[in-house]
Amino acid sequence: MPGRPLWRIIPLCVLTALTGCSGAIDGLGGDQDDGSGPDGNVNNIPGVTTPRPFTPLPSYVYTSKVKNLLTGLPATSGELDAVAADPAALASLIDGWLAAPSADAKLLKFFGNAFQQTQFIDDDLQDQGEVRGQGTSYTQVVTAIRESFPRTALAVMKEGRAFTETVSANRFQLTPALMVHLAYIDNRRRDDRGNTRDKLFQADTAATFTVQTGGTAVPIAETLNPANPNYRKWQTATAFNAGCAKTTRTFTGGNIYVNLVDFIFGRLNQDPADATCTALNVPSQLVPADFTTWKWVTIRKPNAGEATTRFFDLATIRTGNELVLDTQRVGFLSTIAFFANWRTNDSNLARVTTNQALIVALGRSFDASNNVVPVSESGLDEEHANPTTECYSCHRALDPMRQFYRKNYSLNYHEQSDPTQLAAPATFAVDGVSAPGSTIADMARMLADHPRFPTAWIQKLCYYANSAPCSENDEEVLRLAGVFKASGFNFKALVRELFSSPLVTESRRTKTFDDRDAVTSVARFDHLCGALALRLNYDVCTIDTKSKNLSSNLPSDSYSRGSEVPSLNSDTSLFFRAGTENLCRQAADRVVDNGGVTGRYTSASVGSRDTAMAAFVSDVMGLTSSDPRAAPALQILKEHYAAVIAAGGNANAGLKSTFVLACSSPTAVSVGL
Amino acid sequence: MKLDRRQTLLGVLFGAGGLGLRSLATGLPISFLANPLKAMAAEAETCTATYGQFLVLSTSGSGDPLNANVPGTYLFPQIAHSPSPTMARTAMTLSGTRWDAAKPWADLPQNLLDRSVFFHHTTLTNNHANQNKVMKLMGATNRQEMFASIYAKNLAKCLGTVQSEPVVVGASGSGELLSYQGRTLPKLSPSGLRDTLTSAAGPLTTFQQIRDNDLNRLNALLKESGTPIQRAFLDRMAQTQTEARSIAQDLLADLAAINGDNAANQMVAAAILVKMKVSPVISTHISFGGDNHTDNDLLGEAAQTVAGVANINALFGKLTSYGLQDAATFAAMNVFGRTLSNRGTTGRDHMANHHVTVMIGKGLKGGVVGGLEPKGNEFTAQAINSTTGAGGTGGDILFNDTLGAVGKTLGAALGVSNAVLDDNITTGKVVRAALV
Repeated sequence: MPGRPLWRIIPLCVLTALTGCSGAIDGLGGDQDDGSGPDGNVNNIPGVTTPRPFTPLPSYVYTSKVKNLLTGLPATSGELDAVAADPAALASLIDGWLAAPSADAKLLKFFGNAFQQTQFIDDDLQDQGEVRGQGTSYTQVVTAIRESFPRTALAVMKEGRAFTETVSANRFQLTPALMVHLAYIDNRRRDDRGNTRDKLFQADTAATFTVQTGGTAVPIAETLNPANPNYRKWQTATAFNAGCAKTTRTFTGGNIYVNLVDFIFGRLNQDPADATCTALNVPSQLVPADFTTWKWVTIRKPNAGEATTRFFDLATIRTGNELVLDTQRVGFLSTIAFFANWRTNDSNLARVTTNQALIVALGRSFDASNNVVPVSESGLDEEHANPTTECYSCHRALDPMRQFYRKNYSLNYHEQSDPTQLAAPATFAVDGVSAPGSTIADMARMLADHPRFPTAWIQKLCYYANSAPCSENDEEVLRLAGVFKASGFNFKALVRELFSSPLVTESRRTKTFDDRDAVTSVARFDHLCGALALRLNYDVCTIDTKSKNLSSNLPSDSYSRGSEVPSLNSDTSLFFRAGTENLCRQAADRVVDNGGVTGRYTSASVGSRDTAMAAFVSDVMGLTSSDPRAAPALQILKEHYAAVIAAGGNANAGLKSTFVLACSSPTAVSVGL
Repeated sequence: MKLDRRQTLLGVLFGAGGLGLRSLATGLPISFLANPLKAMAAEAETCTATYGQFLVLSTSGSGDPLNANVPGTYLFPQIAHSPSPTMARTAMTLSGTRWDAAKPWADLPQNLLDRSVFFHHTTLTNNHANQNKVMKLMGATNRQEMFASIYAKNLAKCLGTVQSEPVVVGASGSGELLSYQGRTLPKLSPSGLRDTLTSAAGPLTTFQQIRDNDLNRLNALLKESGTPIQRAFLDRMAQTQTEARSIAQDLLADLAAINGDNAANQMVAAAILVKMKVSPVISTHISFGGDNHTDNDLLGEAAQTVAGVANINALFGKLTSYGLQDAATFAAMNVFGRTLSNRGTTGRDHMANHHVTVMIGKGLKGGVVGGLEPKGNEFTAQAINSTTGAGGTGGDILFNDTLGAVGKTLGAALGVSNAVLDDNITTGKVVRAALV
């Protein structure tokens, strides 16, 4: 945090470390310059300060920067002219840009990182219950797990709802396939010891279901109707394996619902009573639309006597907007993806989950600077309870707060069943707010209502736009926080205000630029690949293995455990230069003289080459005609083409080389030029 | 006129008055050839030119049980080891002194063992999240710089590397990324490195020099109207373009050996990057058991330790094939060590009080530095005598300062000057007994 001097943090760090206690100091303050070096705005003469140099950006630069950040597209000449004539026009342009589908794609990437929903691998899902089925179905469900919450946040924004709902609401954007998965893992409760209890099986241990090959398709309504003769009968058109003499497989026993969910997702397992009837892939019982139809779904706990949603009740899941589950789901902080990012264990006891939730919602991490005295220290681990140790200062707030998770979730993130944990009180205590609570919804509400919430989200957008923080005591930041609150936490209003403010446009000096230099950044993975995909109309970064390899080495926006600050590399390197050049070379082969889907430019005639080179400048380099640099840039490209021809190249080689020049030029591979 | 990449490269090298080519031919840095007196003065301040070493660092934010099966831990019968025959207690000799260790360590070639140091110390944390703080020696480095970046900055001139920033080829998560002067460095996967640095012959390569010239013209155009910040950025773009062109054609061919991103390929990539003199420090991730809270009979730990030590051996094999076995030092240091006895062989928990950093290189004298002693149900690293390297009561490097001592001792082994180490690392001392 600004104002948290380095000299105060280092001793804390050392003291904390000596005790073996966790202590997060990775905040903005922790890594900030201490002001004594050549980059600081305080010179080495006591009491004498010199202002940091600041040069405002012209409107054609910042207008292009803002549109590129929000949509991946270059600003048009009309847009540049409008802002040049009246800088206030930028705000209304932003409204229009945010309505474009290309803005949705950029915001989904932003939300995925900001809510920490993306950085997990398939293995990380196993604690909560494996994704079942086969191949395509599996991949689609994992993708949906990653996309669900970013889509939720985007829908909240687009509907103009309070952005605090991303923390405290129990409504989510889900697909029917993801609903099936959520209901399935809810049924297979896994306790603190890792023991699994199949609730449907426990309720009816004699249950069976059958899968018949061929014959007449059984309507799902009949399959689910106990009064119908076809109750619990499923059908597949796929023939069983050649050695299997049966036409019907019957499943029963403790794994019955594992077998059923596998079948629903396209994997028919071996007949339990006949090993000659081996496992095989079958068409999923879910139709393609079940994987792509996103809708609002409220997830709630069952009322007294109410049954939870059965994962195989596909008719209800397809038509309904509610899931009744024992496992509570509230906001970003209890999604499958968040839990997969932050697995816990019997040593960590959900401390990581609690801390990461705090980082996402409030931009805060537990450390010794949190001087709030919790209203209760119940839940504080005995080994950290000695007030004379540095551990105590962190754990006295962290341990009672992690109890929100422990009371509501097992270590595998299923509903908690341990009476000791259920009985233990939980206490929220962060930066001036301390209150007792019980449910994860209580904790979510306290996070959403916390006074740091607006500033935290301004800061996340500052990092996204500038690869650097805004000073939290900057008057412009304070103004934006006021606007955000006054709008009822309308995120679109915040984006409009922030991206048209000097904090992003760098059109005038604010305190932020007293505290740090402005930043011109390389275009990291999401920005570069997003822009190239839009401008060249194909996925430049993932279309083939080599492109994937090249783009995988581009710096990307990411987050790390315990850090309040996202990992944002803004500097170029030889690898960035070589990598982007090779990526552009890959693209050149696809877009120049390629009659396929990706071909856009031809070298066949003078006219087509001129058209292509003009497009290289406007679309690829992002310099449209109202930008004074566009015309001389086009001249350089034309002279490059001529030089290649003069050196013995043909028209194809000349145009490709000209494309690579434009594609690897600084304005194409950076943000803020 | 047809130009291949090599010819283009030669053009670049000759373009600077031949200094680039002379640099490659002589092994002396361009800065030295351009201004030997000035370069010598600068180098004298930062590194010991007699044996400046590249560093191949392995680090893990998982806190692998690197401390559990090395020389020193077999002095206590209550320390649990895997019953797997692959991890059998085996005698080994380090510079003439007998020790016991798990078989994979003992089976390393004697020439490596004689330059292997097993340094017992604390990392002052038992928290995964503190991985990057351990890289900053838990607050004991100036300006919160990572110790590997201190080495890189001060060895770059000495070694004549293309860049001074470390290269990260093996971070298993963003927590293992390194930072350099406050900037988080990106990860470069081995296979991506291969595709990034190599380019196929063809027209686009043929006309690269022309393109580079015109890219410089575009840079100049943008600088005309740019702010000072933008101009500095454009200068960096131009500089890195030159750096990309300074990698020799024949060396690029070796990148073709890379066929994936696992630890084995990371070792190949690291050796290639050393050979290319890209950076003084290459960061990798070798697993020695991972975050093994639950690991029945420590079989996961056994399998990964066998593979991990084999990867170290393979690294030196590759370096030897390049004639660089004396040019690079390997070190493995993780975020923390793991419990040695509490859970027996059912797994290990985090432990702040004891970790072992393994260092192997020309500047090191094989042996064990420091030691461990029982504390409660567990163990703790001992204070260290900086002259003898022995652990125990009365050592002038106190327990709390042993992490800083690792940073200083490894730096000294790499050839970083004492003045730089003392200026940049505020705790601990160089353990002279660990150095040749």
